[in-house]
Amino acid sequence: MSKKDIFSDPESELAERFSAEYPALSRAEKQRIYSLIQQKQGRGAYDSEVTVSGVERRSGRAWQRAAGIAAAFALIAGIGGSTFFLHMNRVRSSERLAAAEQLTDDFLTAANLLTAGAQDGAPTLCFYRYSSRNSGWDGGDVHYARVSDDRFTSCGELVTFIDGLVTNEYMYELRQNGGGYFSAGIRELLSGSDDTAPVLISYCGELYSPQTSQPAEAYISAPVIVRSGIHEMTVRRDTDEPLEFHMVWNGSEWQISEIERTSE
Amino acid sequence: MMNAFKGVDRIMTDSRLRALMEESPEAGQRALFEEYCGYVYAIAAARLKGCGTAEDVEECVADAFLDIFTALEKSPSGDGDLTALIGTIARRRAIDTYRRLTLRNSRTVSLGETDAAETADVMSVDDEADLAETRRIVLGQIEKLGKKDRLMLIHYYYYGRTLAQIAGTLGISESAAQKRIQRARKKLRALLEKAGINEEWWYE
Repeated sequence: MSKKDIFSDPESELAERFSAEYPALSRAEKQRIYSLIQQKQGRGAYDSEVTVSGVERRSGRAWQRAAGIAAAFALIAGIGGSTFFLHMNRVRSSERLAAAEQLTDDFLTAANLLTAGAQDGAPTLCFYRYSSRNSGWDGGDVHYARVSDDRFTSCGELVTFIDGLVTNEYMYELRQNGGGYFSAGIRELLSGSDDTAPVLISYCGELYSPQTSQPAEAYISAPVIVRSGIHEMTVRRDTDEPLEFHMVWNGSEWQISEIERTSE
Repeated sequence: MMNAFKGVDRIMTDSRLRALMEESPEAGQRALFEEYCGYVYAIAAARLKGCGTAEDVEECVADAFLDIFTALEKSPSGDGDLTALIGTIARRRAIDTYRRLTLRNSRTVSLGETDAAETADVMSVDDEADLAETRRIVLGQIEKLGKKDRLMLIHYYYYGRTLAQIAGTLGISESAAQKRIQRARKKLRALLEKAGINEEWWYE
């Protein structure tokens, strides 16, 4: 057989499986493609489109202009250089902290739904749950309450949201085995098992999770950057246990690459 | 194979997506894109790797979605399998893009050469069967690897992602990505040799 790429024209089933199990697109890439679609539809995807028209006729000698610009730049750099860099460092540091807070807040909010919580108390759904395999168990009612975060109306939206916060590699871990954060993989949490009911149900365009007694206001500490590199950082946030979020810069945005439960 | 997860993860069913597209085309299109962009990308990337840039693949995915939106506007209440419809449209668009890029990449193409390229693109039934069988065996061996190795190989060989893209997505350096791929490839080569496949099956 001649040398040929065995994956160049795979069955649709394989494409479907790989896209679910080994997703390749980052949130930034997805957004870029969607912007392209909007642009092609004439919806003007880009926030600011700068149009430059007209031609300036250049006078004088080119080297004089270049030398003038270089001299001006050197003067400005000499006077304000150190101040500028100090300021930039401060801006970058505050930007990092803001990104760290946003990313961890978003993750903890979404993760809270997968561990039951964030309910508004009404309305509720009631299911009778039983097991055909266990004749000795009479079964019982399971109550689901609507989740209060109206950003999520389906399990798919929730999973997509988490997918956008973490690296593909870590999303794979979260889906398969919980990534050291959840007690089981997201797949298992969502579908439930013989012993557990699904943690989320999508019903009439709204999302429901098992009703719990009203939890006390959860404590979440402010984010603290405990380690920082050029393209990575570790952020600590304490909930009912201390958590360390390892984050990486993928060239366009920060993403969570791992979450560790740490001891004091 | 429709995996069990799809039933839960893609809880927004095809009929709901169709209904949403009728009710609010813009919201429906966005929801459809979120649901299926990974799938369409998987089809386009597999077809275009080696002949197009990352931008070409992204443009192909965008064009495929425009085709999909048009098809759904023409038949809003269709009850067919949306995955199959989207897969077919994406595949057609990827083949069109592949042909366009192949022509663009060759500086001068005579009519005869074009015909030859088109003919070469059509495989015999025997070749097709051989390829499917090799794919089945290779996938079987890839399944035996650890998940990190699988991830690297599929990103590199299936999607045709560059080292820079893989490094960016996984949050590692390019040299680390390269080392991981080399390691995974070595392990796979050993497994394939045991399975009786010695040839270089991968895209060079």
